[in-house]
Amino acid sequence: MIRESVHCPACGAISLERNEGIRTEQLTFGPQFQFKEVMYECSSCGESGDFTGETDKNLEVAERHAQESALRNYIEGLSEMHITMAYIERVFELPARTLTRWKSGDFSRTSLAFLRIIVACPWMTEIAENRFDPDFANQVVIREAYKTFGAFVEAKLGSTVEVDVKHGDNSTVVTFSTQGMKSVPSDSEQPIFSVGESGSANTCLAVTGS
Amino acid sequence: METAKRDFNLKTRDRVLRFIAAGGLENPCFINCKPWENNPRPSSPIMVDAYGFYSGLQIHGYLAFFYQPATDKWIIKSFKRNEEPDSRVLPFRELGERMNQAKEDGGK
Repeated sequence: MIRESVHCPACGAISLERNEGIRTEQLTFGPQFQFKEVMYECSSCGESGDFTGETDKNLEVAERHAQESALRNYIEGLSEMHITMAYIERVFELPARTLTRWKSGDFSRTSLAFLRIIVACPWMTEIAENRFDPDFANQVVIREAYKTFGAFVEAKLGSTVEVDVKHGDNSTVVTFSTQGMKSVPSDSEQPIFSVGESGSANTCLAVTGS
Repeated sequence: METAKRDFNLKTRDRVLRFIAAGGLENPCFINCKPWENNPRPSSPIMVDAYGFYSGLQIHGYLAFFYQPATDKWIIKSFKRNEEPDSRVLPFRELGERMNQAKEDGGK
């Protein structure tokens, strides 16, 4: 096999230094992967890079393996949360056995992006099940936001927090009931803070100690 | 490629080119045109064009490229996050300066 000589794309020189090494990259929301990196440095103009495209090819292959592994983990993780493949296919109106096909390696970057969203925000499946109704979607987003806030308060103040979200016709009331919150004043009927009107809906956040 | 990877999560040359070809450089703005400093043949000057651009709401980018007649190739010399101030906030900077000036004038 005749090996084509490598030229510097910037200046055309053939006096190049070739360096090889093992490179580690992090897949977005997934595992690390390794590949062989081949870099050239031009002794004439000083430009350096992957002049032959070999590194890019190696990266693509290694990244694909990491994506396959990540995708399987996404699906298995969702399954452990009782979000099954058939359920996802039904609520997102995907053809039957789509996720099985993805899991067996026949997937695109779009499939991967879709699953990353579901894994990061599993409650998107609830919204999908309700046909992306905007009001229901807002309620779920508010519920999840306050749940996250409650978890934060619990972690920071060591208190048990119960979140109650009540949706009226034109208002959403969220109440946190706490146990053992150290910073709650003795007059525990008074909210620590409250959030007033937001848009047309009156959103009230009250934190009370008990 | 390091900065393309670090700043834009574009890991290969092909992905950078596809991003540009798909109109990824939003509101490109010419910055300058300077001779290529590392040109090994100074008798044949090569000019490098630099542009600023946006990508989404967060990234203010910088692209520099030149054409090399010896290899008949376009070379992307730099593709990275722009370290210069984002020009989108320049009108507010001027406003801020005027407000500070007004405060100083009022305090006298």
